[in-house]
Parts: sequence; C-alpha cells; structure tokens
Amino acid sequence: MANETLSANIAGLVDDIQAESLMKLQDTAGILDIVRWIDSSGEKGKTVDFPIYGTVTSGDVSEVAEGTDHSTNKQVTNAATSATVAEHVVMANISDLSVMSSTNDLVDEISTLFSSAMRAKLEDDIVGLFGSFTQTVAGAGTTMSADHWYDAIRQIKANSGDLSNLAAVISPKQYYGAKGLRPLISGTTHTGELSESFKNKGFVDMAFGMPVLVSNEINEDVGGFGDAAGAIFLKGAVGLHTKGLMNIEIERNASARAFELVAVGRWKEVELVDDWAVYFLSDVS
Amino acid sequence: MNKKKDKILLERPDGNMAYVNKDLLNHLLAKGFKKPSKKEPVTQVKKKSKK
Repeated sequence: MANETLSANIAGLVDDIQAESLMKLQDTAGILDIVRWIDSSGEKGKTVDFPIYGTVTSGDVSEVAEGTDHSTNKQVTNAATSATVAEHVVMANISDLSVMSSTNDLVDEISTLFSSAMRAKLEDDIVGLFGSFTQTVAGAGTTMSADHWYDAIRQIKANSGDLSNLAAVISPKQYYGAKGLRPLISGTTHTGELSESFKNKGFVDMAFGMPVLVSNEINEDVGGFGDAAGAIFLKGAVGLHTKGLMNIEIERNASARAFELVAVGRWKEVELVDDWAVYFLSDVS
Repeated sequence: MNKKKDKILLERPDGNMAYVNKDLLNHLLAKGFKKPSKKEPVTQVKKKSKK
C-alpha cells in the first residue's frame, strides 16, 4: 500500500487539543492554626503587642501563722513582644497579547499561583523562627528517636506549658523518611492502631499526643550536613500579626499593553515564649 | 527547595546550625549565636616534583 492520506499530510487541519492547565500550587502545612494569630484588619496602627505575664510560682506563696501580718508583696510584671507588619510582594506583568491568545483565564490562574506562593512564604517565615528557639533535642547527625519527642515534651512541661496546645512541625524527610517519624511508629515490627493508621492513610492525625504538621519550607540540609530543622512548640510560643493577610490587585497598564498583577501579604511573625518551644534538628541524610 | 534569600545560617550556642530569618540576626548574635566560620578547603594541590 502506498500514498495513504495521513494526518501528517494535512498540515493546518489538525488542531492541538489543550488539556486543562496543571498548577503546582505550594503545599502548606496549615501552620496558622498552631500559632497565636491576631489579624488587625480595619484597625488603626501597624503594630500589635503580645502581652506576657511574668511567672508567679509556688515559691511566691508563703505559709503565714494565724494572726500575723504578711508584709511581703509579690511584684507582678508584664512584658510585651511587638509585631509590626511588613509587606511581602510578588508581581507580574501579563501582556494583552498573552491574555487574548490564551485559551485559559491567565490573570485568574496566575492570581491562584501567587496566592499559593504567598501562603508558603508566610509559613517559611514562621519556620525561620525555629532556629532561634533556645531549647533543643537531637542535633546534627543524630537520628530521630522516641526519646527526643518525649524529651521535648518534658522540657516544655518543665516550663509550665499547657501540653494540650502542643504541636510539631517537621520536614517531609523527618516525617516520612527512613530516619524520621514513620519508622518510629510504623516500622515492619510495629502493630497497633497508630501503625495501622500510617499504613492505611499514609499519615497519622496525632503522634506523641500532638498534631504533627509537615512543612516543605523546612530546610533539609542545614549547613550542608544533611540535617532537617523542625520544632515542637506550644501555641503561645509563636505570635503572628496579619493585616488582612494578603490581597491581589489587578491594574491596567495601557502603555505597556499589559495587566499588572500585584499580590501583597502583610504580616509579622515573632517568638513569644522561648521556654515553650524546642528546636528539633535531626539527621535525614 | 529554593534557596531562601532572607534566611541566614548561624551556629547556635549548642553547636548546632540553624537557618533563621535575617531580621533576627542582631538579636541572635546578642543571644550567643555565631556566624559560622569558613572552613579551610580539605584538598590541597600538591607541588609537582621535578624529575
């Protein structure tokens, strides 16, 4: 057989079919729920003060004999940590020609990408506080163990932390990796509900009495030594001030024949109570 | 993971390293954090011996 008319022979008559665009939206851990978050939208001022009382301990309470005056006062102090919002920006110029030529709503889809990136950046800034926590467990070149988790809880408990507000944020390798959380609770020899949950769902809702979030923003090669830097902390350990969190504005730029798309996030993250947080650096190499 | 522009590598008082937000630099230096010292290159170029 010869001289068949093939699709390759009818140039200009065979259109490409465009599949729906895929977006690699940034995966975030939902970290806003585990920090002390205040949004000041609609309020004057760009700084929020997080007040923190000084401690009053059992040592401040005295037994006093009946009928005698107690003359020693306990001075109760209060300190405040300030969080002044800073702006975070990502912008794009989208040409008229690209908007007119595209089969998709380009402006809408780029807005979605920017929104996703902005949330990831917020998470990245909170993760950037972890290294400043004074207390620590594990360390460089040390494989994560159950003892490290309990030691972190112990340190926070020893500082009168309310363990019902405890949470952990660790890296993907610290969660799923061979030297991470997974082999601690769902190794080949493990049985029980927690292990089964990991095997069935690929994750656990709680471990060691706390939600464990996985953040892609955590560096997994700190200093080039193959260690990842997570943290275990109480809600009161980290403060976040937002002013509307973020907005995206689209403006015509006629002389450039383009749409200017500007995404602005407004926030500031601060460490509030150092005693209620533990830096969790562990080997993931 | 992208290289982060606004993070800085510091050595913590416990000897471990940490990437922290750049705006914390002065605060953390006052807390005993240190900028990591630059290491000498491990490999050295040997002089060729004349035969």
